[in-house]
Amino acid sequence: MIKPLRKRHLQLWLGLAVVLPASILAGWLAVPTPATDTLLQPATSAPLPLILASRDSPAQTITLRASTDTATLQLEWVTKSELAAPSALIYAGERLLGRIGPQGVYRFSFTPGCKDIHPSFTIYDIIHHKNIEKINF
Amino acid sequence: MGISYQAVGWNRQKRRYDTILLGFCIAYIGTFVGLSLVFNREMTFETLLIRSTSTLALLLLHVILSIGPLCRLDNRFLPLLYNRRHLGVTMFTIAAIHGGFSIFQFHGLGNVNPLLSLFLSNTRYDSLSAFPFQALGFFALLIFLLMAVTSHDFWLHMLSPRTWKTLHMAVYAAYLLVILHVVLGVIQYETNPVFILILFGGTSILITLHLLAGYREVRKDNLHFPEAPNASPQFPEAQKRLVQVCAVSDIAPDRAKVFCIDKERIAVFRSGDILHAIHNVCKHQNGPLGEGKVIDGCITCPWHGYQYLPKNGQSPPPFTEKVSTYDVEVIDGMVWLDPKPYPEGTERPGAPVNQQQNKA
Repeated sequence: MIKPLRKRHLQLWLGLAVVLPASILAGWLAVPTPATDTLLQPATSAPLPLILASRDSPAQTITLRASTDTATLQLEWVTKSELAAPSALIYAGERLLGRIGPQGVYRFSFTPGCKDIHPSFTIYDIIHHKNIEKINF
Repeated sequence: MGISYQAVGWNRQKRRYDTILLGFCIAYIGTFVGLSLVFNREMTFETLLIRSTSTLALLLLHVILSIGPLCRLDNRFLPLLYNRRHLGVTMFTIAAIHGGFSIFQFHGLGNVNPLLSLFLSNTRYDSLSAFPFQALGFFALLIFLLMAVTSHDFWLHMLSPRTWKTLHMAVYAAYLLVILHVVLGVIQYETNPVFILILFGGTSILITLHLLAGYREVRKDNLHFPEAPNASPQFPEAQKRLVQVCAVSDIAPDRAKVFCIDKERIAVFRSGDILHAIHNVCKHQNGPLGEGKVIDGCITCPWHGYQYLPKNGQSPPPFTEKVSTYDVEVIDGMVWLDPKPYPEGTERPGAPVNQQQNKA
């Protein structure tokens, strides 16, 4: 190499020594944190102590729980095999409790109304707009 | 070495090198596909191809860019330099497969021209995390294409070594574009820190190698050599400016030592029992002749094997390349050099290594 070319190489790499790490750092800092949907999927809460009723099937186990003073009810949904619908909403009467999806444990706490002495729950397929199942206790 | 086009001559060494290179590429892609299928069976063929070729091209690009400084730091790497253009064309081919499949997969199946779609499907040029990174890869590929098609010596002669070298230095711009393409692309959604650590490691190694080699060359260029006093009785030819560069014993048989005097590098070769001095820069691609050796009586460039006769700096017939020659003398076991160049191809007698007996 001739001297001007050697000098140009060195100048270029001095520039790259600043630009490359800065670019990598900037790109890394710009990585977006994944958005979490908290609208219909609250964190699974702890199970309430009293078990009022329970239903077991190969697809799921559904338990109706209550606090010791029965002021709060809780629907515990354990999905054992995936639902036919990719995502479904669960209603207590006409009240939206939340969303159930892939395998896992879902618990939805709610305050019982006068109609909730024998509450019924509806599983609704939000994509196909139809009721999947109705559960009566 | 004329300007007429001549097909690439594959000698035994090049064939061996290319076979190893091809074997490595196949083994890499095979391993990548195998491991991907073990850990993620749902990956499609297109995704596998796009990912395996992208990582392979990036790896080869790092190897290519490290060859130059490695050779400057240790001449055992010189055989890699001899075949660097093959590596470059291979890297471009693999990058082109990656680019072609990516354009087909992400832009080829709609009703918009794929190249238009590449630039118009995402116009968030004001965002880092959503930047249209594919456009960066496209421009890098364009530079690699230009380099690959002009890699033959025909273009070197057509464009002149200076223009050709300037054009090929665009590889550094392409490298920056590739790094941005990766950082603003895959790194934004494959958030495993291993990927960014590998990328950072690769660029750090390259930066370190280039800066080390660059500063070493600066030190070589800034060495000062003692000059003979004008009135010295040892130098009756007073108009000559002689510079003492080293001891005769410092120069190994059929090898050279290089000295930078008045901003020019001069290689002093020991060919048999005679010292010859020629300009250090090969006419082919500005290779460092002084790092080569004398083979079959000819000074042979370590980069691509171009040859020059030590006595006159001319390539042996039918070749026509010529470099400048210099006067060299041996006095009391020390080598003295006149840094004034003779016109390219001028024959000079050189200096017998035992010349001190004549001068004493």
